Amino acid sequence: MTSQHILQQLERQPDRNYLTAQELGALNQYVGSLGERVRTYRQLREWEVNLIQGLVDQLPVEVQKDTRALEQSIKQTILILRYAALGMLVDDANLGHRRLEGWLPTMVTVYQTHTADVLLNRALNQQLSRLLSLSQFALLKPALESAQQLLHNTSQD
Amino acid sequence: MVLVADLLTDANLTANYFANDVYIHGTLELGLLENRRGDRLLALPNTLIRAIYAGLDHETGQASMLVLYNCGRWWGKNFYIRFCEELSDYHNRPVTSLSMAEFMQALQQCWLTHGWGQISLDSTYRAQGFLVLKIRASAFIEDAPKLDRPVGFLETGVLQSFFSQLSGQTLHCVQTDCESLGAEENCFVLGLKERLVVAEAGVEQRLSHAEIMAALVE
Repeated sequence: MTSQHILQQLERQPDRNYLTAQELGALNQYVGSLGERVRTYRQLREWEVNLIQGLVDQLPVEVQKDTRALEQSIKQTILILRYAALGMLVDDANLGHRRLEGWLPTMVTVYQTHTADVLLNRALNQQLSRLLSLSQFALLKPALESAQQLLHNTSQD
Repeated sequence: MVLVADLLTDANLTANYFANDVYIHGTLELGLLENRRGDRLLALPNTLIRAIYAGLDHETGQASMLVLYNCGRWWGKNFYIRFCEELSDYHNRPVTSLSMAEFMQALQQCWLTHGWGQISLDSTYRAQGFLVLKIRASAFIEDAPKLDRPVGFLETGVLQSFFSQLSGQTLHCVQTDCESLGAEENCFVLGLKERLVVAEAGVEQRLSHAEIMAALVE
């Protein structure tokens, strides 16, 4: 999947030729959506702490009791959200997946965060789909889901 | 009750320090490749690695295996110190507070990012006092001269001194399987020297890794 930033996708070889109409079209589309992307990013940045705290407070008591796993799970969820936000901003949906793939599955196993991760991330997606507009959530969703996939790639069952 | 704001105050959220697209930087106009702390990195061309093997063989013959193994040990000693320094600086806590799995994750990612291949730990024989490390797609074995024995001399040395420092014991290392002999991955057994005599003998007799491990834990 070539899901890098649009400027990296363009081959940038001016000695060969000008960009094709198709490449320019993709670039145009990205530039056109940039205002929306920046707005969404800014909102996520402002909401982060309260948004995540709200999700944590609604977790079942038994999940809240395991503080070590919960704290790690919260950090993981925040990382996923931050990488998704940045990935959305720069149109690189795989950014989080790429940076976290050699790491996140190990942490899920070591800290036994699976239960908390599933609950937090499910609630996160629901909450974001409510808070963001349809078009904003559509911009964020690929990057978010791509990073969240790693939570299910662990060796534990 | 867990307060999210408290989790975000002390330091940055730490994750995958050695992730390849953030670990390697460069001040290319000055001809410098650097890691994320600004230490110099170097891209080693295959032809240079092959030239080192050939030059050593030409000058020292049989002794070149020992020279490489000792270079590996020297490398491992310094590599361990730097590796721990980088990790503890990044996580803002001592390396000893990381679990073995977290430590190995970092080592695996570090190995990958430097292009040395894929390293993994097999702790099946840990209770019996042996650690097995496996390396796939080794950069150093690929270019080593073909001999009728395992040729991961550098890695044997580096693993031996790295894990000796990690465990606080003087360990010995024997390579029991080698990609140069058609194996799928390179296997290295670490343990106390006197207990690995059997493994050395097994390598001489061309036993497989599985056979050697069976003989070791017998």
